[in-house]
Amino acid sequence: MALLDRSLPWSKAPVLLFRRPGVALALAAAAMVAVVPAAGTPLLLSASQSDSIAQQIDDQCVVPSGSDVRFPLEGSWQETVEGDTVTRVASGPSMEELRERVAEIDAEAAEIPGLSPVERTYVIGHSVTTDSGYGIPEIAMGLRTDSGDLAKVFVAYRDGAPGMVTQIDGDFGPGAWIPDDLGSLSEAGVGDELELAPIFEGSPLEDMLVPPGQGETIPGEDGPVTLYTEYEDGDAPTGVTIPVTGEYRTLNDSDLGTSHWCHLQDMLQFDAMPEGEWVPTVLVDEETFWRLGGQVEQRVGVILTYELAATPTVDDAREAAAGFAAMESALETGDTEVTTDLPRFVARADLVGESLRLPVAAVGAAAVLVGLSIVGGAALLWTRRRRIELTVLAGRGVSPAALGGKAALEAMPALLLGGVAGYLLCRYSMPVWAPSDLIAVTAPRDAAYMAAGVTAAALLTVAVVAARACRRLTEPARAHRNLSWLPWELVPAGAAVAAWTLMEPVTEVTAGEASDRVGVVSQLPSRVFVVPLLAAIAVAMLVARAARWYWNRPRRRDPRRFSGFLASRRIRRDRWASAVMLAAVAVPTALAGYAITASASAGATIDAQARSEIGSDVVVSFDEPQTVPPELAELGRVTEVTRIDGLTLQGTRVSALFVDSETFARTADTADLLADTDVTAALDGDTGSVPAVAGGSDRLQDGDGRITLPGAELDLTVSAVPDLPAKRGGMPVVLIDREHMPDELSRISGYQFWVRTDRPEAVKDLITTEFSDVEYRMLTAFERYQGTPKHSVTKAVEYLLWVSVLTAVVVVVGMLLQLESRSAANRRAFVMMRRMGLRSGVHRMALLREIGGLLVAGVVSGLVIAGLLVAVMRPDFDVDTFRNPGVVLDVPVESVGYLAAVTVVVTVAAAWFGHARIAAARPSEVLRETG
Amino acid sequence: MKPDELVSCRGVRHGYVADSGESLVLDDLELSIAAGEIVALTGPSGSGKSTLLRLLGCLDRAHAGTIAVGGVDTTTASARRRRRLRRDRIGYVRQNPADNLIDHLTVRQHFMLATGMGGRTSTGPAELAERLGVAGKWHRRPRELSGGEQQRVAIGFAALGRSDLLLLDEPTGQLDHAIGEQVLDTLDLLRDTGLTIVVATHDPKTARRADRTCRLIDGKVAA
Repeated sequence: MALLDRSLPWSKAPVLLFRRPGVALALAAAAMVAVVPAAGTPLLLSASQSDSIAQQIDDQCVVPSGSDVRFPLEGSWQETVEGDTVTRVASGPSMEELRERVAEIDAEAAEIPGLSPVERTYVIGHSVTTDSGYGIPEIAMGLRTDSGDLAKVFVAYRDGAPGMVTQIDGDFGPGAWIPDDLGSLSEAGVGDELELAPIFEGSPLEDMLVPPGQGETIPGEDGPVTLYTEYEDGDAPTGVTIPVTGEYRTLNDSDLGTSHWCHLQDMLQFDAMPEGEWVPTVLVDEETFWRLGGQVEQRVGVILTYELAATPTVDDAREAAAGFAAMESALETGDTEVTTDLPRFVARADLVGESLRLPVAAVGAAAVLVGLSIVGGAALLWTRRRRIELTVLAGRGVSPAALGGKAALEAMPALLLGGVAGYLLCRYSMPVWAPSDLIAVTAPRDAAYMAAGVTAAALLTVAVVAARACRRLTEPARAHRNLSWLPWELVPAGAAVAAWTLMEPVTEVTAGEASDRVGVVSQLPSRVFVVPLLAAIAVAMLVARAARWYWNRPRRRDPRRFSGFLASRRIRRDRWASAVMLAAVAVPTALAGYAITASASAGATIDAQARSEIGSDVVVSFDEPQTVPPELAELGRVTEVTRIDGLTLQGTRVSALFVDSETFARTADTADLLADTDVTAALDGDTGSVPAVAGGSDRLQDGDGRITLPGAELDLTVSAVPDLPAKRGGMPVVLIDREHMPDELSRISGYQFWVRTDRPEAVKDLITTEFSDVEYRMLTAFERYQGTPKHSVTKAVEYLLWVSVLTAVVVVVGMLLQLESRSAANRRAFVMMRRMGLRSGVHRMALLREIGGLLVAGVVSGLVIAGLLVAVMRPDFDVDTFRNPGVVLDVPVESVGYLAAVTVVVTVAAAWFGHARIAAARPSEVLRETG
Repeated sequence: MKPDELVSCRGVRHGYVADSGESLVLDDLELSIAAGEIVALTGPSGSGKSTLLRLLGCLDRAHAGTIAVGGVDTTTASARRRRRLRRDRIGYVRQNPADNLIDHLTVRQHFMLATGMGGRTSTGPAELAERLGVAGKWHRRPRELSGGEQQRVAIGFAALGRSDLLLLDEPTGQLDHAIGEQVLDTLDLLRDTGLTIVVATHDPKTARRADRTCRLIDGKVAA
């Protein structure tokens, strides 16, 4: 019973805090925001890896996300010997043989989780070589042309093929489906018939194909024997007439064909080398295929594609890769090849995760520390608020540790609520801030552990800070323990300098052997995150010290207005807390401003480099001259360029661009490349010979030069500049006004539109629509590095931004907490001042000036710090220093405006809230308050 | 220290640091209090009465000199030792009644807390409440009590569980005459329980109720 009696202040503690819901909510918010970055770290790393896997799988060429299993099917020979007669019975590949092989492979695939049903592709006409190097001579299938010859074709069946091509005509029923380019060989169309027959001419087996019934004498072991060849029913090699039931866009001429068939280009010679021989691919239904493929001498290439049913996490992908490796070992058939890109995808995803680990951890740790410092501040304010009870208990001999425990018990429900809310917010807001909402199974568990750990740390922080504060209730603070005079700013400042010096500005992350297979991942150097974090803290501490020094000085004159006097007194009354609040506003403001600028600048730099590489935002290249669609001019600035590669000028290999000098300069991206040269003026010069601007090589000099074009020569007066856009293969570029372009040129590399636009996606759609019947190649700056450097580079910085924003929320919460802690004293003061004639408006203005003064000073300090950080770290915003231009600084002026607006709103709201709380008190109750 | 001496102060010096420098409040103070006495500390405002009480109550440490309570040198004792003294042997009552009580506990809970936390007690909580005249307010919280009731509860709370010394700082300073008399009557009750009582006051009536009066002038006990 005595124990129960003795523990009353502790047993009641968990419910005491809710008598002050404002304090409880503020503590919960502080805990929530401390938990969010901790829980976010494993989620972000996992999401980034999943995003990397998805990016690699979703690449333009739909490489199977799982595996291809390839093997050849060929017929067999059965020999019977009777005396001196040998009979060979030849049979071609059969569906039964296929089913057996597929069943064997399917059984192995069934062990791998997460696979879609197998997709089958059969091909006739292509040699299938295996790792054993055993190659079978090609035995082709031929199409009877209009001239009567047999022209080589590939014949293929694929599950779902009609949905993988751009259908032009026909119902794609049983029969043959022909490409629209087949017209060069045959005029057959939908409704006509095709004859497909095996081509033996030139085949080593040609001589073996003895007509049935005709014997052939060959030497045997015991003397000559007569050899007869027979064929299984239906397997005799012969031509087959097939109805044409569908016509489709040639595979490499349509996006659908390109995306679904590009991974089979080794089988189908799909646009691999345009100058090579093009062999049409005739698609057929399965039954028709076996009429052809089941013939003797045919060698059917079988591809079983096992796709992953859903985009995998990196752990799922790792498991599937291991499964495919086991499948390959289990099959152990020399002619079966199991290929998968999953190990490469996984290795690259691991590399992405590794590149993010340090910056994300640094940002997360800093944010957690800021959150915990606010929690610690809340503990200090709690001791002030509960001073009377704590003094009574200390007077009864209760130890500071026990009082710290009481603080933790009181704060526990709010901190637990905040911790759970923080975890849930982080977990379920991933669609907003994470690169992917697909995460490994272990990631939420790890995030929960982190959240629990930070919540426990918050409880411990409350207990320790409160205990230390309660020591002062009965034991005097010893002078030599007051070490605030020491320049503690030097600690984070020194760490920032050390980090700057010791951390290399490495922009590429590799991982041992993985670098050989998966290349590198571009990333902002880690010091871009670590140095600003430390420096911002150091400068903010310095600002706080300066503020305290300023407030410590005796004032010569008090403010004239009473609201200013009151605000000034309240700020100076608790200099430490005011200084901490000032620093706490400055740090997240600085980091948010820096993060926004760093992210925008890194992205702008990459975009500028991409534009510099291709020439402008969008560059479309045609084989024939085209007219600029009128609608294109509405989407941006357009200029026409005629390009010829592989020329020579002043002994240097160059590319020549014939441009419209009036429109080129304002459309092409030449920023930072030209020094002070005015391209338009240089191209319009009148020097006798043709004026030209050349850039991209130190070997090109100002002066005369002759350029040999395909079919003409031009004498040029060259103005050399440091660099020009749209270099190919590293070759320098020469700009010449198109009015000097000879009429007859035997070779043009491309007729181009260069488009400068803010709406590249709309331009892309317009080109696709307007030129659907024309061959073209389109490059867009915004897609140039999609999924590679830009995406991963800005990910970590955007994480810093989000964390900074959340930290700013914590600070506002802390400010409200500070207001709340003073509310008792302020209430008593307000009651007294009201009796002396103070008007509510004056008090409200005093609160505005008190809160606004600290907030505005903190925000301004933060912005100045952000500017300093950007100035110092600017060179590191360029992840590819080998490309021009250099760093493009993108300062978020709009964001500063938003920040100013938010600051005003928060100030007004906090002042209104604070005044409402104070003014609502009844004098009779206030004067009887026991605290 | 003499056999029946409970409190002994020798050469006590103590002051406070302000922006203008250190201000000495107690200057070589010498004081001796026997067990069972009621001693009144008087003197003008700022003479050091409250400071001396805080030092006697182990709520602060003297800058110099020796203060012994029940044979324990409190100026050099560890923080833990001093806590034990506060828990078991020394009680303290502040001038403002509300500053002595915990706002969320009832009168009953205060007395039970004191009984549970403290050392031996010769009077049970219910009995003490009856004698203090607050038994009818057993389940009331401090804000539901009058000033005098609060102070009596505070005295009872401070006395319960303490065996040796009770320190009171201006116990009637915020009370009217009649209520103040009630409070002073409790001191006699408590003396009967064996407590030594030291009262800081500038009220002559309170001082007359004491066995002895010590007047503080210039930081010393006037002869």
